Amino acid sequence: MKQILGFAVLALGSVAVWAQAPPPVFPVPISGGDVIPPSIKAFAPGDPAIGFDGRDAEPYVIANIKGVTAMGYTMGVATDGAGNAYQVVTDLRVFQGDYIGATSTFPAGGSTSARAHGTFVLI
Amino acid sequence: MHDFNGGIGPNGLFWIVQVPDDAVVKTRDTLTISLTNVAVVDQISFPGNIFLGSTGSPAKLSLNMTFEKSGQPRHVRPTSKDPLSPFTWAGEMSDATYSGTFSVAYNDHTFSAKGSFGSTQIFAEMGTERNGSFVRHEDQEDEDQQDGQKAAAAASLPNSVTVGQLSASATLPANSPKWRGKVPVEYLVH
Repeated sequence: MKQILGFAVLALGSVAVWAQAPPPVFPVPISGGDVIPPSIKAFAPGDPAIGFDGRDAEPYVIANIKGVTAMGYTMGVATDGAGNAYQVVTDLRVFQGDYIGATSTFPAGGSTSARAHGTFVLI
Repeated sequence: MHDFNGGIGPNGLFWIVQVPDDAVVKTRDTLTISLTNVAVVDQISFPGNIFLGSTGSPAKLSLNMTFEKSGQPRHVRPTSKDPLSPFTWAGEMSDATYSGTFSVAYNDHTFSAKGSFGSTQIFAEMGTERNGSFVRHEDQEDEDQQDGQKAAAAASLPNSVTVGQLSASATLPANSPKWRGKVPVEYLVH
């Protein structure tokens, strides 16, 4: 009985939240990616001669997205709080645009597609 | 070694952090982003601990960086229909450079560092992109447009013209869709 009551309270709570704001739209990862292994949901655009996937390889890691992107790899230097020096290697990507992600629609959380806008950074 | 990243989501979303739209400022040739105290994790090594997902030492990262176009735009079209391929997207990209500064600190204050990047450029690009359903939708529109043009051309032909005669004598109108794809990359080095 406790479980049933708990579920009822949860359902009512969800309705209240739903009325206040649209449900979140979760971005969905791309289908493919580099097999390191393991398989990850990201490609590495760049010159294949030095080990990358190709200049025209997919830079986004989010599927069903349309917008602006900037990405790249650089090197630099850093110093920690104890004065130790480090070499820095970056893979930073910025994505901004409209995307079609997953939103919870059915009672158990079953998804349907929904469109949203967002800014994402791959760090 | 330290590897600070946004963690891997339960659905596999890789190293992604959502930030406010106004963190990004765009001009025609530049894109600047400023982040303050973004939650990241230090996974200590890469790729050795990559299976750890979002676990690691929690930390906060602040950074400022600017991308700047450095080359002519190139048009990218899908050259593969394999959904697992890296060549299924479309867009217009330009080579770029980027540089910036950052600071990072563990939440428990046992480690912190600050530095800069961009002194050595390996590869960078910026532009516009669409993938997944945004590409399939446009491809379908292209096919529909081509089908419409074929139907219009067929409707204007006399009934006695055969397909063979059409193939031998037809010339493409000036505004016909042209092949815009690229030669598929067959050999990839990892």
